[in-house]
Amino acid sequence: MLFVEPFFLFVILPTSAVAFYLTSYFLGVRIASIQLIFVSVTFYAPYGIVPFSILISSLLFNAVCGFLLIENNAITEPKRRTIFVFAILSNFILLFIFKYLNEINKLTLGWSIPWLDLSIPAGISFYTFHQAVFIYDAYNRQPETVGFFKNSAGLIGRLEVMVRYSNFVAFFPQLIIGPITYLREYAPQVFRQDFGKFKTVDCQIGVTLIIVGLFKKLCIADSLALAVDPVYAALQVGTKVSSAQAIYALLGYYFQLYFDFSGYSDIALGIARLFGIRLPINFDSPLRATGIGDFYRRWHITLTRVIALFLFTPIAFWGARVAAGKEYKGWRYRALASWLPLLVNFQVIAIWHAAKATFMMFGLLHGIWYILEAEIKASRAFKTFKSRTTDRFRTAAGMAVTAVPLMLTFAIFRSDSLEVFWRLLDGLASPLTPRAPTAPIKMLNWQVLCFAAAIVFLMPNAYELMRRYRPGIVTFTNKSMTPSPFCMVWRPTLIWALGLIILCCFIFVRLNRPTPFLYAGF
Amino acid sequence: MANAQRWLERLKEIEKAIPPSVRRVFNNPKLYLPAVAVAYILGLSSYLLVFFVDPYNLRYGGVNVKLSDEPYADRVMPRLAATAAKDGTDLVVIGGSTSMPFSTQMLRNEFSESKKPFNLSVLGIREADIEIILKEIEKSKTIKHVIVFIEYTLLSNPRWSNRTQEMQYYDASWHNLVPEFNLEAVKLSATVARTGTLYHPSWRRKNPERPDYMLTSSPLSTRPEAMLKLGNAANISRAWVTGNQLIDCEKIPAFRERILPSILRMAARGIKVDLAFAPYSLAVYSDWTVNFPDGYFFSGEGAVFAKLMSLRRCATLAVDGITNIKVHAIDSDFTITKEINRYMDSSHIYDLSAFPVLLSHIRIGGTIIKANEWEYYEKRMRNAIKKFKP
Repeated sequence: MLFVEPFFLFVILPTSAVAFYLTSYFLGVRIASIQLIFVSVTFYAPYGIVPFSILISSLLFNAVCGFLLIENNAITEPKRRTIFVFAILSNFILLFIFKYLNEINKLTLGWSIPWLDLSIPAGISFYTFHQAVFIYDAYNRQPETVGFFKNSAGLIGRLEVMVRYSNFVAFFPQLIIGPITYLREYAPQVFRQDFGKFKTVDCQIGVTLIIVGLFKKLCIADSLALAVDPVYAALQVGTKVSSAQAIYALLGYYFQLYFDFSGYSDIALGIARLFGIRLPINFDSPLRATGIGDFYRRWHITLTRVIALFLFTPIAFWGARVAAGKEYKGWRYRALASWLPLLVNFQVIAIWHAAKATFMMFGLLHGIWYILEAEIKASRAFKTFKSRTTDRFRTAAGMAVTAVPLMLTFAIFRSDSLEVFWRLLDGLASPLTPRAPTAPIKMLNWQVLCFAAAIVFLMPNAYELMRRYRPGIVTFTNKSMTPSPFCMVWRPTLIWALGLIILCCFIFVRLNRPTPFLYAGF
Repeated sequence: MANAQRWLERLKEIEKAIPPSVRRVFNNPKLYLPAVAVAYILGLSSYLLVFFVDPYNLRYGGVNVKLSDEPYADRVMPRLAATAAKDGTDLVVIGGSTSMPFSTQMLRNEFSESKKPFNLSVLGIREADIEIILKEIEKSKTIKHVIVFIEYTLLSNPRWSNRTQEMQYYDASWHNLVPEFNLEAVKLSATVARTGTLYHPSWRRKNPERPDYMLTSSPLSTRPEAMLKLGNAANISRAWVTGNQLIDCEKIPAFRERILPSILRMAARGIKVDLAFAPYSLAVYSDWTVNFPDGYFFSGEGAVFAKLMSLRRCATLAVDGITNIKVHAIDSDFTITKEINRYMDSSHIYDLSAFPVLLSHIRIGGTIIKANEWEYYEKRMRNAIKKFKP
């Protein structure tokens, strides 16, 4: 089910929220939690029986491993380590089988396994990471994780923990496209005394985030897609495009991807907040980033932090140890302790999306870019430049230098093959008037593009706007770059409600053709 | 930026001018949720209105809806199939843009035994569209006669999706109960609830005589440059345009998989099914080959002639000898397909007087083709195309 489907917005969401609070009020929060599982099942059921079975199996398997790692004191440390490795490997093998195996088979052997030749089970990339982090925390007996499994003696106790764990993994707002939440962030909230009690402020923030997210997705991202998709479809079949079409596709997808994915995250945070749960913030104005490092502190933050913690840091430590052991210094030391981990890090981020040449190229370019940026920032010349220029100038210059390469790498990300990307570049280099034969695409809506750009570069993002009310869990604190005249602060007042009603009118007009979120395919 | 600052200061001045009592109302946090709730309730009511009225007849229950006698705008044609299946319609035409100009009056004149004929042709119809429409029509208890036009779009082109966007109306499922929900459906539901007819003033055809796609077009005879282009294409390709080998039916599965099952079931129920080849002009083969390179209309193996002929042959072979199903090679009436002056381009007839003639061919059966006559038809077409001069 999609967040943008009228059935979800008008039937599932209100009934589940009302039922949750009523159940919690009359029967207690434990029963309300069970009811929440049913909502998640209803939400996931349309994806089919196979994805559903995979989700349930993965959930049960990880819960059992979690029990063994946390609860069972009789297990020796080497056995615990074996369980940990086995659980982590099983999670990633499952991901590998359903996401990559057939792609690799097709590429290398030219055949595929028929029963795997279906679309990737929805949310598998997200819930696998979700649970891998949980297993890691369970192995380290992280206090909140241990606390989450408390009182699990006896059948009732275990069932209760199972309900809690199922809600943590399969909580419907974050099930399909994240944000990837740590148990240590989630657990304290469900143990709060007032969890399950209706709070007006939760409802106000939740509703606002949902409306902002819907507007981003339906009115901006989908409007841009109307022209971007046909251009890429034309490029895919080898039709030439004019430079206007190529420019639109390049800029349009740059904004479309941001508004689509961040719109989803806003809605996810909003829905979770309706149920009294804060999820981590996933986007913080990433298109205003002043460099690739800054970009990854603002874009899909919850994935970045997981990869950084579980991949980059261990590889960097290993590299540093090896380099120190061999007494490497200078570039050799950096190559092992920094460059290699960065390249692996970005390659994994890229392949996490899918096993495709364009994604791998995307990851490689971002890795190289990150290394170059780190090297330049560490250079003496840059330090001199920094001392001689103002912060404001550097921010503007950084944004300008970052935007174009980002657009180009986003275009690689969007292209089905590198050939399609070359065709797009060829289109960029063509004259402004269409060359014959050119794709008959007439829907280039430059007003929407300018509107999207204005929102990205001038307006505060939803979390900045609502910072006073802490709409989500902040994982990286980034510097706000909103121009001072536009630094507004949201308050739950009638005037802001009128603003939301205007957004609702636009949403209502666009609610006719719900399209899947771009990241739902990963 | 300075301008923005000035504007904001101006706004603050305006805000100061607002009386404190009004300001108190606007700043009242207690009114936030009720105000948003009003908007939400309006949305929810609209959703329920569309669900219960069911203007397109997609669900059981709802208001009893009839199709109007007024001609419909091109864009709404895909939405009418379910209503046609339930409002007593007994004859339907299903096809693409080339069969859209058949009016209800033309159908009534030609098929006088039909009490309620309706043309369900859809602009740019695709294989999945025909399948959906046929499945809807199959549900009808009153249907007696179905005419299906075999269009080139049945030769799947990977550039296009296999159905038009409007077909989302038929996507109902337990988690998408009201697939037709949008602002237009809300307005339509209000109208349908009042009138009982599936018609909205905004659906009026701009010219009742012709489909909307013809509105800005003119006959080829008035456009010498277009005629010249067609003439050049015919001259360039004369020697080879009909030369390619026909394609195996396995490679063009759309007819067999999407259309055949429904028409077989209907024929078995005693419903008369006529399959008609779209009446493209003889210029179409050279025009699409020369003026529209690979990928525009067709992509993949084979040339235009080979592909269109293969599609027709496969359809003819698939239904040969089946009671109640007839195949009409109406494009072999060269008094129409050779007369390029009667067309608006190489594929669409502009001259409205040609359409009753085509219908009479279907009624009388003068152009019926059987499997054993295929070679004769193909040879005739090949010769005519080779000699054709626009």
